[in-house]
Amino acid sequence: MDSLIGALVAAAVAWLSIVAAAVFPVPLDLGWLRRLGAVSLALLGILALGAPVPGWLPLAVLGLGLAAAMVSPFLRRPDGRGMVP
Amino acid sequence: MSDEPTRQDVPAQSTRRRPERPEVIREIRLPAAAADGANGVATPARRRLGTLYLLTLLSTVDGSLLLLSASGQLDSLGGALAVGLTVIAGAGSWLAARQAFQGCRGVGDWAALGVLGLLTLAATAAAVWLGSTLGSALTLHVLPKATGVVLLLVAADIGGLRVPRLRGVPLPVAVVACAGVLEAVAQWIR
Repeated sequence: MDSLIGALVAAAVAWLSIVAAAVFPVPLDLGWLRRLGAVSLALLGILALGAPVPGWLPLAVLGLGLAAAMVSPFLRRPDGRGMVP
Repeated sequence: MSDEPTRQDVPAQSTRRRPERPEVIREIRLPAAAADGANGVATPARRRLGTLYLLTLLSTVDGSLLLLSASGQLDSLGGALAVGLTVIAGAGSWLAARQAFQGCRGVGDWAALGVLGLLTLAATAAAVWLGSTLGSALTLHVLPKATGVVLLLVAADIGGLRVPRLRGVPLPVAVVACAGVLEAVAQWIR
């Protein structure tokens, strides 16, 4: 895939996720979200360093973590407010 | 940074309201790790919108997206999706969006979201074009590795670890600057 098309895909996905967060506010634990983002980003960094990590792993970790947060009652806050870890 | 609970706007005398449950105010080190309003501080809607714009567009100006495209991380669909959801957007952007647009959503809110989308597309395309042009024009030696180090540092900061500053400059920014200089030296030597 051309990197410019990749950029457009990345920007579109990012914007759609922001719109989804604005329109469908699911009260998730901010600490969990932060840790999840940190792990995904770290995996992306390890990938960029050239380590033999599957390219789909950061996305899979993020997706599974978000899915777990939506399902698990422990990772949701009924008042919808974030929580500083 | 003080650990004092945040003072809310409390009316005087008998109409005093109890302040909300005090939450620890965490020092914000990098904008990527910041989630405005998450520490219980009430912020105006416009400032929250500014935070959303900052968090979303930061990666296009701080060099991380440029480095990622120069090292070819956006050449696959999985890579593009991962970059979009972790580097461009992410927990901070989602929380800022939730706080900026909670309540009724009017025409102005949708317009702000539309402008954000256009800006994100344009800024991302520009940063990636610059990065891919750089990557195809030169054989990069230092910058691809610096990308990984920068992402690890930002991830550590988001995860709650303290990333030091060099004379007030965030360490990831210093790494990008050093990598740029080293890359220029490497190109000059070859």
